[in-house]
Amino acid sequence: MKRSDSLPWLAVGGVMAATLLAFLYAPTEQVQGNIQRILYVHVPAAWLAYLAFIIVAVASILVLARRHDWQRFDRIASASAELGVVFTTILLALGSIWGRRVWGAWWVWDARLTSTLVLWLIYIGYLVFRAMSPPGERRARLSAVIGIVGAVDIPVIHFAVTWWRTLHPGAIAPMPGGSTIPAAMTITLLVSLVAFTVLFAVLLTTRIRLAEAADRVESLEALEPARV
Amino acid sequence: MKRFGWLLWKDAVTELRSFERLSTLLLFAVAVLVTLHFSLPPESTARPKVAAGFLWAALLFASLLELRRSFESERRDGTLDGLRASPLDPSLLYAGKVASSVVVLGVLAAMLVPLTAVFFSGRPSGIAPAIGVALLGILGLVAWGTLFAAVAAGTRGAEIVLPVLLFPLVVPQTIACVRLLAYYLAGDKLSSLGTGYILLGAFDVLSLGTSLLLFDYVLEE
Repeated sequence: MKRSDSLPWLAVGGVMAATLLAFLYAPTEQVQGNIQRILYVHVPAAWLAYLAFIIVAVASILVLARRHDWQRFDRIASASAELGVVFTTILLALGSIWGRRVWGAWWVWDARLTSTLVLWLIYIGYLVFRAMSPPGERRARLSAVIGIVGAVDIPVIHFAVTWWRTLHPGAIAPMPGGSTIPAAMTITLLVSLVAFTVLFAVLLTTRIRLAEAADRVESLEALEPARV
Repeated sequence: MKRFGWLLWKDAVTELRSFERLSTLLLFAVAVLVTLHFSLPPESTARPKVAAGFLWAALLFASLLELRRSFESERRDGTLDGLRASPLDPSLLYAGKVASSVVVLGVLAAMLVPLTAVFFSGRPSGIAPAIGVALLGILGLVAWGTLFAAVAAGTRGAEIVLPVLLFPLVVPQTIACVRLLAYYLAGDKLSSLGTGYILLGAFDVLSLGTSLLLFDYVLEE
């Protein structure tokens, strides 16, 4: 069995283990109740969203810096952007469900949520641009510019949104939590983080391989156009 | 430096010479303000509070039209290729476009700010500083906007791609500019006026600097 074959199984096993731990092993939180278990997926989703966008940023810089190899880095950047949007969507959706239960609101405009929403919009914009552009070097180059601008602006946006919140203090959504977190919860969260990270790695490499295959098909078709 | 001046002159004068264009932009912005005004019930006390936001929204939409035009007319004339072929530094080209768009939108803002004050009858404490604040906001908006107008120029659905890319990225300018405008137009309390200005200035420097660096890559080939 090739080494790369075992990773998907590891991902599946890991996520299953995390799910079992989250529902059966982790204790029920005193204040929030069972809705707190959603955080065992929500937190990994947040971590992976940021990881994905860091990868987009680095790959985008490499698209511009390593011109001879732009295809490889362009595939990495776009695959990671797709995954980033997926995980940010999960993050926002789960967070909203959690918030409805705990804060009584589907949405609040606190600094964290607002910044995440803007982040989501930026990377959807990245994908929209790619969808509307003919594939090729130009699209890769311009996507890289968008990716870099996004990465540069996101901390600035977060800072601006935080400053905006401080202008009207007091409206900060409280994060409920006990003073000591039981070890079982920490263990469950860690298992979940690792499991979802492995899943992310599997999804990313698969997506990149898919893009490679698509590019190969395209270059073959260019050599010998399909006869109608 | 002379080349920059020539670029600025060419773009800005072509634009201002056609007062038709500028007055249409003004008409468009007023139409936006009037439309937004209907979001409030009549005699609403919220009117001064939303003035700054409505003004910025009108400027945002007007800037989309102005930015598209910034590259549209040159593509049609073929002068973009001519500019690329010339020994002109892409950075100069970028600076020229930013400057000319800022001039056009700045003139628009100078007319729109007092109009907003009149429409939304707050107690404006300073029309002149409000125009200055609007100009600072426009600078950042046009800095990112010029870069992304060039990026979007080749795509189909470019008129959608530009705002989709631009609006989230100018959130810092939006926040800082609107908060400052609200101070001047509606007397909103602002804990530190200086901080607001510094932030807006810093956002502008960041967007100008980054766009200047990246514009070369967009203009290639």
